[in-house]
Amino acid sequence: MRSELQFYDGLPRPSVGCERRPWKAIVRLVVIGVLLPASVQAELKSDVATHLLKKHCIECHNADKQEGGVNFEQLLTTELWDNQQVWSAAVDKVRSGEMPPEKSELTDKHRADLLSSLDAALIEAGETRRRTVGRVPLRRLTPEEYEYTLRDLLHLEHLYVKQNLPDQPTRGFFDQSFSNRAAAQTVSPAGIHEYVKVAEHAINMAGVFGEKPTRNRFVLTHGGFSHFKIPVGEHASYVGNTANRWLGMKLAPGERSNGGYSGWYRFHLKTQSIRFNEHAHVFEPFNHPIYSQLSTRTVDDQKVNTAVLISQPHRMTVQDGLMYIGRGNLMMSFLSQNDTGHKRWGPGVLFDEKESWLEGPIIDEWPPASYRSLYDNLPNCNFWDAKKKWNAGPSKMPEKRWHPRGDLRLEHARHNDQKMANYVVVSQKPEKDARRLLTTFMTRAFRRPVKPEEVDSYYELAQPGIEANIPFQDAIKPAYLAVLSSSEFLFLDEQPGKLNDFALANRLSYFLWRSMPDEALFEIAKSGKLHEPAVLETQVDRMLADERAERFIESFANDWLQVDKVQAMPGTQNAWLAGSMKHETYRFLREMLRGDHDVVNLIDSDFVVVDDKMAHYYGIEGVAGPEFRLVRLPAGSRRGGLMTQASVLDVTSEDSKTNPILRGAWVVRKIMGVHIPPPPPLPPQEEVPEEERPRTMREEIARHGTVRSCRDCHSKFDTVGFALEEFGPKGQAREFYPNKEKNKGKEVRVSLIYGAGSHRQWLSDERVETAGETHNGKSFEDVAGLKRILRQDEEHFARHLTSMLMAFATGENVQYSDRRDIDQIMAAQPGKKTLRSLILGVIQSRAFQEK
Amino acid sequence: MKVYLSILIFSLASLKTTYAQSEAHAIQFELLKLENRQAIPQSCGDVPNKLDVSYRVLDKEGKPVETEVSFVDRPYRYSISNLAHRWASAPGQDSIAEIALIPKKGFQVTLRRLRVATFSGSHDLKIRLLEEGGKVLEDRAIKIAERSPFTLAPASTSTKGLRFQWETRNQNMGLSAISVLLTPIDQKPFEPIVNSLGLTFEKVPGSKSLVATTEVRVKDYAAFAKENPEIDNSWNTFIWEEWSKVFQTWLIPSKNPDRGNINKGPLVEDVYAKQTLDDPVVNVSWKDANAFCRWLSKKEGRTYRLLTDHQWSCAAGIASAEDSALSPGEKSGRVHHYVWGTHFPPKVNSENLREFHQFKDDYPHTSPVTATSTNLFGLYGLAGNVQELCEDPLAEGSFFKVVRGGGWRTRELHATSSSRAGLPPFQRNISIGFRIALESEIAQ
Repeated sequence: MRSELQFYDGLPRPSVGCERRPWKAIVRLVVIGVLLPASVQAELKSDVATHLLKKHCIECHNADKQEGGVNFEQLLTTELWDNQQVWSAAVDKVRSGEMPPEKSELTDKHRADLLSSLDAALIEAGETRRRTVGRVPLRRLTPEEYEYTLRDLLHLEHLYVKQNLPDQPTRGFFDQSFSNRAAAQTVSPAGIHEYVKVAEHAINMAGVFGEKPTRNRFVLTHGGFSHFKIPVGEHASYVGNTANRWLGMKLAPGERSNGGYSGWYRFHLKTQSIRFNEHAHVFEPFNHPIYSQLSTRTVDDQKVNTAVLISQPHRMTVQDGLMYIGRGNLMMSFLSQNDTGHKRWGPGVLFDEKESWLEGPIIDEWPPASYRSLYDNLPNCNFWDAKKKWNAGPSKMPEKRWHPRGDLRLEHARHNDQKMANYVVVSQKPEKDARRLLTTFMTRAFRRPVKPEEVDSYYELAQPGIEANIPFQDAIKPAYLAVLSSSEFLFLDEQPGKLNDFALANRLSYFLWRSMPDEALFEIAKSGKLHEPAVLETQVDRMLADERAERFIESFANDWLQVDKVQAMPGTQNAWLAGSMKHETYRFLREMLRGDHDVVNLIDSDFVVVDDKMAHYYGIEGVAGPEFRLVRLPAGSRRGGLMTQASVLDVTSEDSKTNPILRGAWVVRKIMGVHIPPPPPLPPQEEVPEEERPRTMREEIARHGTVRSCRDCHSKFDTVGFALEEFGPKGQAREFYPNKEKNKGKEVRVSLIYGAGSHRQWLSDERVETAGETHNGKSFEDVAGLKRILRQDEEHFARHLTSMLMAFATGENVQYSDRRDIDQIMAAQPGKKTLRSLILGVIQSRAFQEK
Repeated sequence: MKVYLSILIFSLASLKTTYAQSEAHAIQFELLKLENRQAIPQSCGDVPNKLDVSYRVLDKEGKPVETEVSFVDRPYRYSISNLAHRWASAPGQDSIAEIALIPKKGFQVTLRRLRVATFSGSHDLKIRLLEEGGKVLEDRAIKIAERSPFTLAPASTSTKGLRFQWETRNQNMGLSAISVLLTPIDQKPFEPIVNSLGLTFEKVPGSKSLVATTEVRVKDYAAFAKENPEIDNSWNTFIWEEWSKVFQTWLIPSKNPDRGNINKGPLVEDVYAKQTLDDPVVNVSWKDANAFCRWLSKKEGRTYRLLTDHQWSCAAGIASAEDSALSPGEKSGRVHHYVWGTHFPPKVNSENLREFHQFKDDYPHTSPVTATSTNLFGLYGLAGNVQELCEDPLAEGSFFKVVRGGGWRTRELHATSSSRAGLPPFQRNISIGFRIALESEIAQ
């Protein structure tokens, strides 16, 4: 244990008892929260139910047959809660009449008896669970939440660490739960190391020392890959289109474009799109604008796209903008929508170097907020400069010692300035200051008031350094690291029963902001008024209006719709369109929230939220510019709603062809809310002769009907996906299937990428099939018909959406006993339901306000 | 007052119907048919008031035949033209097609050049030029090779009128363009002007300056260099070879992995080729070219300049099809037109372009300026040989000066009359030279 601890922060550590380390608490909590099964025994009280089950169900669902994988013999002998999902599925099937099958004789009275008995038992089990352990197990911050929390805690707008954290959420196509589901989270002791590393990185990032950097203007000079550049005159140079290769634009002075300081910079670029003719070695006019992406690398080498540069044809035009520049150079890559990329000297961008510059860093306050979050008002100074002056005075200057693990310093120096390593935070009364800083920091990090004893236990980590008179920032760092990897920080502090105001504030802010509560919310929690419905509603509205609500939208869309799996189109090198596809869904959900639209619009809407690229993709005219905006669809348009968005159509397709089965399963699960278990492992397949293999999707689907194990689930969704067949694998509208062979069949030119011209496609004679049937037997002709069917069951969709929101908000899937909460939410909103009203309903529900 | 008239005829319908008013002495023929093709601009002045143009088909005996005139739009992959018009008579019969040019009172007409295009087959053709009233000015048989447009230059003047006839059985042949000069009776028809360097200047409809028929030659520039020893010597052959070594290095794959594809660069022997004195001068910058014009103006007491972008378009015959509101750069590539016709490639050796699978010529490098064929206004090497610098920039405030036409190392894209390229005013290029214009009252 001890050796591990030294590895955590690598700091010289005098004899401090490791028994008091917070890691131990983590391990303890993990064991309690995750590994131990619920010790709740809720038996079926009624003999009637047991009797009926034995009489009507056990014939098929016994230990031998186990039809559908259900074995009531075993279920009846185990705890009800452990198998509550199976039980609730059973209740649903009995209630809908699906079970028992017709041959069995279950009279209406017996059916009612059975249902009420099971219902009561399940609810009882749920209530007991809530009372004793709580509905949600101990919930840890997801990597995403951890990153957002660090950003807000340390005021580091551009911190990217989530990919370095352990326990990345993995979501398969059939995964129904959200990434923040507590029961699926694990913590391993080894993983804690990663948290410590990440925390250290963040603390290094936050401590920015020295004088306020002056605002400089950096001129663009030649650099980077010089053979892609052609000088044109004294002040201009040409950068050829290199098919999305990254180009470094080294900016003077120094190695780095930002002169050493990360921060916001104003760029001013005078450019023009032009083409170099490699045959004649002359430039020639290029008639289209060229979009390039300006980006920079952050300290942790994450690519961040910060600005789009549009170079207009024929004339030099100036573009101004702000971008955050982290470590290293300003980068530029062409969003090569104009060129297929196989030509080295395709269209490119001409820079006027004299009038292209970068100015910054733009700093409003110094020391920055991140510094103050760690060291408050303590000054810092250059050690070597101050040493003489200081030593002349009454107190002794802290000794500057090079750290045994020098890489920390290097890390420190790399992202800021080499000189920064020479700076020390100065404290006249280090012990008092350390306690004061720790109290503030811990209150914010633990998101609740802290007790002096707690501060003491963390101060012990800083004490040796302070006593050894090492620089203050190095002395207090172990304490900070311990805070950021402690259980209080990593886990949400929730107790069974009604949540207290701090826990409620946490739950609220991790739901809507994916991060810690801000000061205002914390203050309200402190005053003890947060649980009052009116106060709560005001806070929810404030939080939804905040920029941080975007995090909720993105995470929710990624978890629910898996929009983040959209990939760049193969062959076109157009990563940008993929970005627009994703953002369309995010912006659509945001519009749903901000515009307070009825949730039915998620099924079908008469508007889309698009930018120029998506508008072009959808064949909507008159949309210019990269901003997303609400555009009314013309009558008879197939688009509108989530299902027909390119992002959704993309993630439900295979690489280059559509798969109606996947799409059907997607619609049935995500939109209709029907539970479909993951497919069982395929039984060993016999070799099918070539001529007997299914040729079309319809034939393949027909095969599902012949196999019992396939039919049970596939019958629910197999043909639903056909509604979406009129959209290609990347969501493009189509009438005919593409021909399998190139150069054969009807040749058409399609233009999918805005400003890119067109490319050839070969179509077969086969018209797309769009007719199908839903799981409850309603047939449709095309996607409009399917949407009509779904709209008829508006209430059902709203209920499904509410349960998704509840699962996301609380970190636990909706269980049988939570259905009453959903019922109450629905009953409270008889008319129009909007995303906002459902969110508010969830927040005011019992399931949200209790653990 | 002299009126120079050049008519590019692309449709019979256009002859009969549309004349649009334009600048002082110019008339424009607009193209009616061929909607999806680019309209090829015509030049000139007030044609209906000065000239009657008519077309008819005659039988063997010379009697008019009722026949339909059809447009042939046959998509040959490598055809010379799928736009020329079938002005022949009934199928399988020998017949005579005739175009009559009858000037109004007070004018004389000069037929300068006409272009005939065929679609297929080499065949014999009888052509006849008659003066109105029956006097035969020319009567001869010629042989047309397959897919070769040919230009005839009868240069006959008449006050009564001229009839041009051609007799053939081949229907896939037609007249694609004529250039005509209209002059008042009391004046002599325009004759090209030759200056002290031996450069010839032609009148080009639409342009207010006379345009040199050739690019400035090596010997012209040598005369300038001799009197101005301080100028940059890059144009000189010696320097040329030095430069070509640099260029050759550039082509070596090991030294330039990204550019070493020899198939994409000029051949090594190309860059070592020496220029004759009659070759167009290259490797001169825009500034050098202007210095040359200043020197020549001072020497002769006349005003020489580089062609403007508009004048170059006039010389190529596309000025009226271009939108004058656009900058030269924006005009680039909008009009699909070659000086030899509508389709690529031209007749072998009629232009000096880059060799590739569609086109071959005997010139690996620059050729003597008059070695290739002229356009209808008598200008050499507009589409080929070397690209030509113009006076204006590609756009207002642009770094680049306009470069027009194709050259010995450009392919079909630059050979189109409307394509533009750009060159910074101080840069030199081995395939870029220049052509000069003479400001003259005759042109007005």
